[in-house]
Amino acid sequence: MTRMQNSANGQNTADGAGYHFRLYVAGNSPNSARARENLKRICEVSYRGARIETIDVTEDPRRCLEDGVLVTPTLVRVLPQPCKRIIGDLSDQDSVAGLLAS
Amino acid sequence: MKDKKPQPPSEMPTVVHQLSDAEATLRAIVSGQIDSIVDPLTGATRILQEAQTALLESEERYHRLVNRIAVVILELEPSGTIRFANEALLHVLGFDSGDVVGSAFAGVFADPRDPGAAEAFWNTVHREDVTKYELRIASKTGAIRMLEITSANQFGADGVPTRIILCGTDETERKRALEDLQESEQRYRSLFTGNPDGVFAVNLEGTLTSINDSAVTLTGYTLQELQEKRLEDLVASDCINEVLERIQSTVEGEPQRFEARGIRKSGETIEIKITTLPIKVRGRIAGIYGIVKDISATRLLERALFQAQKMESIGRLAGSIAHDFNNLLGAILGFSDFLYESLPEDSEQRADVDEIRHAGRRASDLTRQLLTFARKQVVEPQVFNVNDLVKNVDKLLRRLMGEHIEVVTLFDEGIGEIRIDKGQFEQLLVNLAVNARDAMPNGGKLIVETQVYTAHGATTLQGEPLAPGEYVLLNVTDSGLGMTPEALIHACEPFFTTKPEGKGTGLGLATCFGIVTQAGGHIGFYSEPDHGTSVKILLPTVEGGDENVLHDYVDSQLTVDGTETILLAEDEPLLRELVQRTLTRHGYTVLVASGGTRALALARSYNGRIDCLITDMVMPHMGGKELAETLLLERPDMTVIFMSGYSEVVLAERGIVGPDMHFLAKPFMPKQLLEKVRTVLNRAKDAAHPGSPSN
Repeated sequence: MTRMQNSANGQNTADGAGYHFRLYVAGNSPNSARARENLKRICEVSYRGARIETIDVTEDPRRCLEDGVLVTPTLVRVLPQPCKRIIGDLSDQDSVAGLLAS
Repeated sequence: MKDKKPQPPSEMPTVVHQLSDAEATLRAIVSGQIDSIVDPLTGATRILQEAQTALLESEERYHRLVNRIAVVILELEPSGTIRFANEALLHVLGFDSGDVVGSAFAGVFADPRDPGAAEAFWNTVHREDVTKYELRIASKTGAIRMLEITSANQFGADGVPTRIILCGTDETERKRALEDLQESEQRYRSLFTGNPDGVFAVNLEGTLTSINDSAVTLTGYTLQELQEKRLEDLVASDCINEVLERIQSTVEGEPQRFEARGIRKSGETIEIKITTLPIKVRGRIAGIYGIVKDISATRLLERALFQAQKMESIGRLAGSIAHDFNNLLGAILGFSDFLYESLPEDSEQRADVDEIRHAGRRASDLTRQLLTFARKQVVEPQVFNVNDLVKNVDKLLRRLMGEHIEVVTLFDEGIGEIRIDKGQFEQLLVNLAVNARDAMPNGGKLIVETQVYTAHGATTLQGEPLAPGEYVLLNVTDSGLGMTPEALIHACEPFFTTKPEGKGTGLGLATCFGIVTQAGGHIGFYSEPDHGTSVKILLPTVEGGDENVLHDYVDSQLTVDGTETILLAEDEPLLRELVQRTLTRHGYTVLVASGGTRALALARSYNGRIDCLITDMVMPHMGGKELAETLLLERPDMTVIFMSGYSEVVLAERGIVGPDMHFLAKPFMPKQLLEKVRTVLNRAKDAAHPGSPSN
């Protein structure tokens, strides 16, 4: 399943402008569902306006090969470069926010 | 030698990166944060056991929810192929899952009466999301269901939908209930708006809350004017108290039905029937409904009918008295004739007898007028042009009016012909002229006018319906004193007069009424005090041709004596004796019987020839008609003369006289009797022996 959407309020703010996140999930599996929720909250707080792309590997497994994803959930920061990836359910939101910003 | 630090290979950063990733991956696996592992060569995904279980549970929960929910859910491929339909949808449309999954949306659900609707919906929903789209689709049985659809499509990165998800509710019953409600509302509304009677509603404060067009029209006001009117402006003052009491009773919960008089904007008073009933809202009275019907025309018709019935019964009474009176008068006149002729010319008693004869004739005139009113006068209706009849009496009218009254005649040459007794028509005009003259003691103008009148759905001045057809309208108008409304109502009643005592008999207009009615016409009056009276007479026109039922063949040169044998049947002794003596004196042989039965017996015991039967019409046991019919079977050569106070028209209507029957109207003078008998016998002889001389 692929879905493109803007952040919650649909506005590109200075915080999130220029950011493109790609989240790989496995359907509605518990960790994937948590990762979705956590990413949503992180973006609301720190990356408003960032572009979020969610890829369900059970629907579209070949997309994993593009980013070399081996497990789900995996979050890939596509932009800005360099590309970064965080594995897990993103529950440590502060660390995740810090890592994504570095 | 300086130690040379070994340089990391160029692949090092990638390896570090991969190791870091691997470490992070392992940490995530250990901490249980991983759901699936992806094959880095094929992309094949293996869901971890725990995640798998949770996923299955989640999916099961989702399916249970989707299938149990009352909302209908349909999932489609972008191509329009149905991928999933929940149980609610299958239940609503009567399909099995196998009927729909894999089929094209527009093919399965198309409404045969509107095949484009499903396709149009598909074209819309497949491009963009819809909200509360009203979709009519066909169930398996072909019945149409109305769904309210909202879509939640899934789109790919390129913005193209990857899946169409429709969810919605079955609104069929609700919409039908709504439509039924609207229809019911419409039905009741049309009862209100389209009602020919006035309908209105007022609240407890007395404010008009709704009113239909008929009610507005009835009052003559505009809606705006009406809203500012008080009850007192719309109801006659003498009805106000009753109307208020009725309204009060209605407000207390008792429906009312009553009559009152309303006042229109023009000031005209109309008679109305009002029905009021309480408006109950949630069990409490919130106002009243009123239904108002204009019954003025009905009341007018009822009054006209009542008046007509009254005239009819007075007529029947007058006719009945006149009938008996005629028999007596016949005897008085006949016997006084005998006495007169038997006395010497210089005898004092002869002068007295002459006075008796004179008084008898006057009594006979009065009887004739009464019979005319009762429409039982013997008449000879013939076809005439009213203009000619009026011209005939023009001189008489002018003489009657005197010099101080101007007589004007206005003729419409286009009028048709009417059938009327000429003498009666002249009497009609004279009676009207005399009344006009008496109403103009100081002079004035009398206008006699004829006009063509075509009736089509019209009524008379009294409000009676007028048979459609052509009429001649005869207007006799004077510029005299006029009549009061009260006098107008009673104008045609016999013995009703506004003239000073001794001046009028009260039979003038009653006679006119009888003459006009007997001719199949109508008489009406229009009058205002001090502004004259206009008498309007409508007489139906005929196609022409004289169709009198009875023909008289009176020859003035006739020799009245005879030698024939006559059978006389008459229950009135005086008249019987008069007829017997008259005929015997002139040479006839008379067989006398006091009734029908006796006459029959007498005829059967008499062996000789009976030339003529003279019989009264109405006798106890056996009437004249039955007697004549029985005897004619036994003596077919015999002729018959009926005697009656009823007119020949009445007798013809009752099937008593026909073209070959002969008729003698009572009262008659001996001379008339002799002439009639001789004429009838001569005609019988002529018919039996054509060419031989009559008596």
